Amino acid sequence: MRALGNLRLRGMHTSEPRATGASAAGVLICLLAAFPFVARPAMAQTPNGRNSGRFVVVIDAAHGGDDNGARLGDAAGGQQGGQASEKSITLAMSVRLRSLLAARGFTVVTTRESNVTLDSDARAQIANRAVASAAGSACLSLHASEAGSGAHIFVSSLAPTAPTRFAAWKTAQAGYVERSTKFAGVVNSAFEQSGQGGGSGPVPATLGRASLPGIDSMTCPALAIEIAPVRTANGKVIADVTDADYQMQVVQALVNALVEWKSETDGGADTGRGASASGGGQTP
Amino acid sequence: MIPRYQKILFGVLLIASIAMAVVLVRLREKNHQQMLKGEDLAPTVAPAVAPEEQVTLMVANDSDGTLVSEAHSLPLPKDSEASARAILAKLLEIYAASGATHPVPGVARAVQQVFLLPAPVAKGAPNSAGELAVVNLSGAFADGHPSGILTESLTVESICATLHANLPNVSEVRFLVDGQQRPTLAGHADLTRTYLTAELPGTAASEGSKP
Repeated sequence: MRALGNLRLRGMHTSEPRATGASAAGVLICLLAAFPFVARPAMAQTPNGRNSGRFVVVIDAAHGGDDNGARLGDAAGGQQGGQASEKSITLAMSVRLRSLLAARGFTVVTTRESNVTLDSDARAQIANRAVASAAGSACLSLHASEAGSGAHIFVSSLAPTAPTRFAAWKTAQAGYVERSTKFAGVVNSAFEQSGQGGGSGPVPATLGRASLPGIDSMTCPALAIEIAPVRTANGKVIADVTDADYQMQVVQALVNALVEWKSETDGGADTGRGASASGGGQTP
Repeated sequence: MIPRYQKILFGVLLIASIAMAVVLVRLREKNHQQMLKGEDLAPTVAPAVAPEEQVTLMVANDSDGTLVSEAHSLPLPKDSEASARAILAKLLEIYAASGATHPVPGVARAVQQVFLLPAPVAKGAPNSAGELAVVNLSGAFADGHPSGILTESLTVESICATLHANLPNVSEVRFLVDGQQRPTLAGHADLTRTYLTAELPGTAASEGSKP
């Protein structure tokens, strides 16, 4: 990106003396030479080499509409937060996460804001359109399950490849797997540090790779976050996925991770505050 | 006064009834004897169709998201496809047991068939010695499988890893449900793609042999 930005500046600089020479053909050639770089706002940079575009977070609340997802709340016998469907839990977490990120100045795009049916291709399309002109991005697909313990962080299982201008739809994430893996490390750290200062302990997190149709088509650092009940070594449930406090702890950890990820993307200078003038809460 | 011919007719009918009763009892006893004879001929224990062999099962663990290698002994058919099906049936039997580390409800004939085919080769590429295993799961198994990325991925990975551990030629695995392609196992794990056994995640330390 930096090389392209330098090329653009050099091209514009060399065009000035030709334009003053009143040569219409020269001006036209210079404009054509500059066009490919101007037409790609994602590549635009400030003079100090830092991206001037937005940092976009895409939040995908999994399932919805006819697709209820998993039935949750049975692990704790429906005692902590009652029984619920996965689609309602993911939507509630998506709304909370969106609000907290918007308060920190992130540009947020959600795939759904209500109980609607969306297939995996539609989710990936929304995400890819949202991050197309962004300087930095992160895509999160939120899930919930009764199996396992704590938070499960999944990166696409596609073999990593170099990013290309045109990528096959079903394997578009392959060019972003390395960045997604780094992002997963940041999220994992955030979960390890979650709950400190409060009464609850950190949310145990496990990293894994999985083949997920929606994630595999996204052109951004993308993760699937699946929250499960927190269990002791003997399997007793401490916090169920239907527990609002537990959900809030997970959401807060994700916010911290995204602030950290954005600061890494920006080169460590920006902490996430005032990242975008447009604020959050956007819906497609 | 009863006429003489009526007395004779009554006596004949009585004798016929008694004779028929005796014949009926004899026939019933005869059938019962035949039935007992048939039961005696039936084997009381399952015939040992093949000697027991050592197999490696890659058993999933939900608590840490790993696969643990376990050695088991079970009789296996000579045919490799039938053998693969028997191995996977044993794996899913472990998941259906109470207290399983990766609980999945058990159903009859969860693995309907396993087909072993030569792995497809791209144009211009040298011929591969690998095999493609097509695992046909039952719809009841897929419908009853718990929903979630972790649990579904572990089921798929453990099936692929178990096939590769026992049939090292298996390099690719595809899944069908009731003979048809299905988008996901239970809403998450992609069943439309081909799984490469070389890309499977590492496994935890193996445990001792189990019967």
